Amino acid sequence: MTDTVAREETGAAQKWSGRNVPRKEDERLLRGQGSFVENIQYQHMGYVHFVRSPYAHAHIKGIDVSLAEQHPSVICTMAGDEIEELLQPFFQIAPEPGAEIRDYPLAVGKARFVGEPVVAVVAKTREAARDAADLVEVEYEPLEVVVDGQRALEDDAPVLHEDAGVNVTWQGVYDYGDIDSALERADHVVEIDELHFHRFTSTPIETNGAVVDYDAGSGVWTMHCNNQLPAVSLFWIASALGVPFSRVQLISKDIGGAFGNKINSYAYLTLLAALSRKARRPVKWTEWRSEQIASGNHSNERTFRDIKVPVMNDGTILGYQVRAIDDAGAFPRYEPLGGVIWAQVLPGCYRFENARVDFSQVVTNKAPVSPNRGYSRLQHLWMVERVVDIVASELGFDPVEVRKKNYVAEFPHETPNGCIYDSGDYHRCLDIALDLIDYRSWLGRRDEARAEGKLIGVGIGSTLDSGTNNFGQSRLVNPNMPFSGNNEAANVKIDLDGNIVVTLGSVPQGQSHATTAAQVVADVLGVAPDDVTVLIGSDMQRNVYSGFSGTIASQFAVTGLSAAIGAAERLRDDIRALAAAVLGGEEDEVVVADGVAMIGEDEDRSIPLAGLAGMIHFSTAEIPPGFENVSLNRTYVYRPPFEVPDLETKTGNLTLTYATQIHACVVEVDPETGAVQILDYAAVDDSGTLINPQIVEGQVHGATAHGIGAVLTEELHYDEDGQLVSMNFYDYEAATALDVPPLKTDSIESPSPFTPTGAKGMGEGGGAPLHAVCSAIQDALRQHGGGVVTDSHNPSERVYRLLHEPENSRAGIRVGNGHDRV
Amino acid sequence: MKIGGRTQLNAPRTEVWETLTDPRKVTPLLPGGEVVEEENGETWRARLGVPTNLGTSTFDFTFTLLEQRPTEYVRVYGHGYGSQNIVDLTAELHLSEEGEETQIRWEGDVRLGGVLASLGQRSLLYVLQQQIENVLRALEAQQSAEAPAQ
Repeated sequence: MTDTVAREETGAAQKWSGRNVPRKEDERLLRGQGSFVENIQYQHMGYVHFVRSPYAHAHIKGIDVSLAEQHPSVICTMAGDEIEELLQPFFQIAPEPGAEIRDYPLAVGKARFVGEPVVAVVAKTREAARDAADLVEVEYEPLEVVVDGQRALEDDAPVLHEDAGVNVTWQGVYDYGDIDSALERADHVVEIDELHFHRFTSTPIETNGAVVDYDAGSGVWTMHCNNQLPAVSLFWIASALGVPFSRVQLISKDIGGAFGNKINSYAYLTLLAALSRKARRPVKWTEWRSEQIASGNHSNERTFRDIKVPVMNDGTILGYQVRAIDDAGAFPRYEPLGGVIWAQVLPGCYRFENARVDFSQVVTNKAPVSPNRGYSRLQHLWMVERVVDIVASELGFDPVEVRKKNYVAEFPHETPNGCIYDSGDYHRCLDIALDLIDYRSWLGRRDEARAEGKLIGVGIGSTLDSGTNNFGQSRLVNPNMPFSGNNEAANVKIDLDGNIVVTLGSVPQGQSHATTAAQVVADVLGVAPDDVTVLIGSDMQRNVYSGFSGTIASQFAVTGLSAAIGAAERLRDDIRALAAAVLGGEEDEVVVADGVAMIGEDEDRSIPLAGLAGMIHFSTAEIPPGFENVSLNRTYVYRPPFEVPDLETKTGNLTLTYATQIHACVVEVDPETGAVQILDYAAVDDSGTLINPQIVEGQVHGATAHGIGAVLTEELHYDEDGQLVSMNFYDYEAATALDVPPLKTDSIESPSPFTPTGAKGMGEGGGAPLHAVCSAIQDALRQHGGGVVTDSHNPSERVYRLLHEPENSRAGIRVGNGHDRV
Repeated sequence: MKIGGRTQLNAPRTEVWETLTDPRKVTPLLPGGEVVEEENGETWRARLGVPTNLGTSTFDFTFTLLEQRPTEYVRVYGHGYGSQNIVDLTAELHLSEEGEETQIRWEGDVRLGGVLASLGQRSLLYVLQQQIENVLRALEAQQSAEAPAQ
C-alpha cells in the first residue's frame, strides 16, 4: 500500500537511534501474548454492568433495584444516592461557576446525556450482570434538551447543572497584536459567518475496561486498567475517594489503542473502586462497543462564528478575529483545558501577528468530551486552514502561493502569544508534498476532467503537532491551578544478573516505547537494544513515575526518552567511576562499549558490566572504598525548560516542540451523488530527529487514516432529542484499510534545539488530512460554481448539497474593503 | 421517525374496530403481548416482547386512547420502557369499508431512546413496518377463525 520515498539522511552519528530497529513489542503481540485488561482474572471476581440513561436530560424520580437484587447471581447494586454518600464530587479544573459542577460517576438526581451510567450492577458473571441490569426500574421525568452549543449560551436554554447556574464552563478573550488596526488598514477583509468542526471519537480495538481490587487490610485499590494518564488521574480518583494517592495503584500494560479518550476513564475507575469495596471482591468491567461510542469520551465540537480576516493586496494575511463556541458535552471532565490548548498553535503555520479569539465553552446534553487525536489544536488548525483557503478562493490567490507568502520561514519563531516554534521548513515540506502528488500535472488534468463532467480538486493541509505541554497553561483558564511545566520519570538499572532493565513512567499505547527506549539506552550504555529489557507498561507498584507521567500531547519522544537517557547517563557515570576504581585508571579513560567497561583500549584492564553488577549486588566486601552508595540503579526525572505563562497578557511558551505535517491530496467528487474519492495523497512530516523512522512513519499513517475517517465518514450525530443515532459501527464508520488510499510519505528532519535528542513529539498529526480533503473538495466544487466547505465533516449528502445548493454556504462569506468593514 | 401504510383486511369494519380498540383483544396480537393492567377504557398497561435487530426486548408499555370516532378513526399514544430503551409512539388508524372488507390506513410517529435509537432508524423502520403488517394480518386471521362457518 505504501509508497515510501527515501527519508532524507542527516548523517546522525548515533549508533542505534535513527535506525529502523525492529519493534520489541511485535513478537508477543503478534503471538497473542499481550497483556490486556481482559486477560486479568481473579477467583470470585464480580462483573459490572451499567444501567444507562436512555434520556438526554431527565430527572430521576425513582430507582427500584429490588428485582435485580433478587437475581441469584447478583452481588450488589449501586445507584446515585449511595455514590453521593460514598464519594466527593470530581475535582474541577474550571474556575467559578464551572467549579460548582458536581460530577459523580453515576447520575445523581438527574441524567444529563444518553448513555450516562445510572445504576451499577455487580454479578457473578458478565451475562448475569447484564440480565439483572434489565430488571432495574428507573422512573424518569424527561426535561428539555440542549444539544447545540450556541443554543446552550442563550438565556432561556435549559441549564444542565443547577449548581453552576449557567451552561458556560469557561469564557475568555485572547487578544494579541492589534486586530482592530489590522482590519482597518487591510486592503481586504474577508468575513465568514460560521465554520463548524464536528464531533467524532476514536474507536480503539480495546475498549475501556478495568479490574479493580480493594484490599481491606491495607486500604489499597489495585487497578488493572488501560488508563493512559495514571499520575494525573490520581487527582480525580483519590480525591473523590478521599484517600491519599498512595492507596490507589494504577497498572496499565498493553493498551489496545488510546488516542486521548482513555484519559477520562478515571470516572469509571472511581466507580469500580466503590463497587469493589462494597462487593468485597475484585470487580471487572469491560465496555461494550456501543457504550464506548456513546459515552467513551468524544472530541470537542466547536463552532467558529463571525470570523474576520484582514488581507493585503499582496496576499499577506494580517491575522484573524473569531468567536469560538466549544461544546464539551455534559460534564467538563478534562475541560476547560480545551479553552487554552488550542492557543499552542494560535497562528497555525503562519506569521500572523494579530489575533483575537473570544472563546466560550459550554455543556450540552451530549457525552462528555476528552482529549482526542490532537486535542483542541485540531479544531483550531482546521479553522485557520479553512480561513487561508477561503481567503485564497475569494480573493483569487493561488492557495500554494498564499501559504508560502504567509508561512513562518525563520526559526525559532515566536508567535504573538509567546509560543516558540522550535524548528522546521514548511515551504520545503509543501514543495515535497506537491511533488509527490505531481501537483502541476493534476491542475491540468483537473481542467481536462471538468470538460468531461468530472469534478477533480486538489487540496492542502498544513498543520502542527505541538508536543510536550507546559501544564502552566492550565492557569490561563484557572489561575488557582497548581500545575506548571512538565516531567517524566524513568529508571535504568543493572539487575542482579547483569542485565540492563528499564522501567518507564509513560504508558505505551502502540507508540513502541519499549523499542525506542531500548535504542536510546543502548546508545548511552554501549550495548545493543536486544541487551536492554524494557518492562511492559506502566505499573505504579513497580515503575517510577512523576506528576505528569503518562502518554498524552505528543510528548514521549521528548519527555519519556529524555528521562530514559538521563537515567542511563547517570548509570554510565556510576559504571565509569566504579570501573576506574576497580581497574586502576581515571574515570574519563573508561570506555563503556559492547557490555564491557575498559580503560582505553586495554583489554587486560576491562570488566564486563555483569562483573560490576556481581560486585555491587553479591560481593559487597569487594566494593572499593567510597563506592558504598553505588547501586547501579538510577532514576531520572526529565523536566522541560518551561516558565509559568504570564496570566495578565496570556503569553508564554505553551509547548516545547512543533512537528510539522504538510499534506496534499487529490479528490474526485461525483456530481450525481456527492461521493468523494481520494485519487492521490501525500503526507510530508517533520518530527525533528527521528529515533526510529519506521515507527514514526507508522504513526503518520495512523494519524492520516484518522483524519481521513473524520472528514469523510466519522460523525457522532445527535438528533434533536439528544439521542445519539450513530452508536455502532453500522452508523459510525471508522476508517478501515479500504477507506484509506495508498499514501505517499516523506519526511525531513529539523532537529529541535530544545530537546536532548533533537526529536519532537508526533503522532497527533490527524489535522492535516481533515483540512487537505476539505480543501480538495472545495477546489473540486469551485470548478463547478459550488459552495464553500464550512464543515469539517463532508459525507456525500453534504457535498451534494454544496454542489447543488451553493448559495446556502456562499451566503455566509463576504469580502470588503478594510475601511468599509470596520 | 414517521411510518405509515395501507392494508386491506378480509374482515368487517365493525369487528376490526372492536378488536383494535379493546385492549384485551388487541394486546395479544402484538408481539409477545399480554395485558398487565387495564386502568380504564382509555388507558392500559401491557408487556410486549418487541423483536428488533438486536433480538427480542421486553418493554412495559402504557397505552392511552387519545381520540376516537367509532369505526372510522382512532389515535393512540404509547410509552414503553425496557432494556434501558424507551419508545414513544403516536399512531393514527383510519378505517373505511371496501365492500365486505376493511381498509386501514395508518400513520405513526415513533421516537426511540437508548441503544435502540442508535440502531439506525433506517433499519428499525423496516422492522416496525413489518411488525405492524404482522399485527394487522394476525387480526385478520383472528377474525377469520372467529367467523361462523359458511
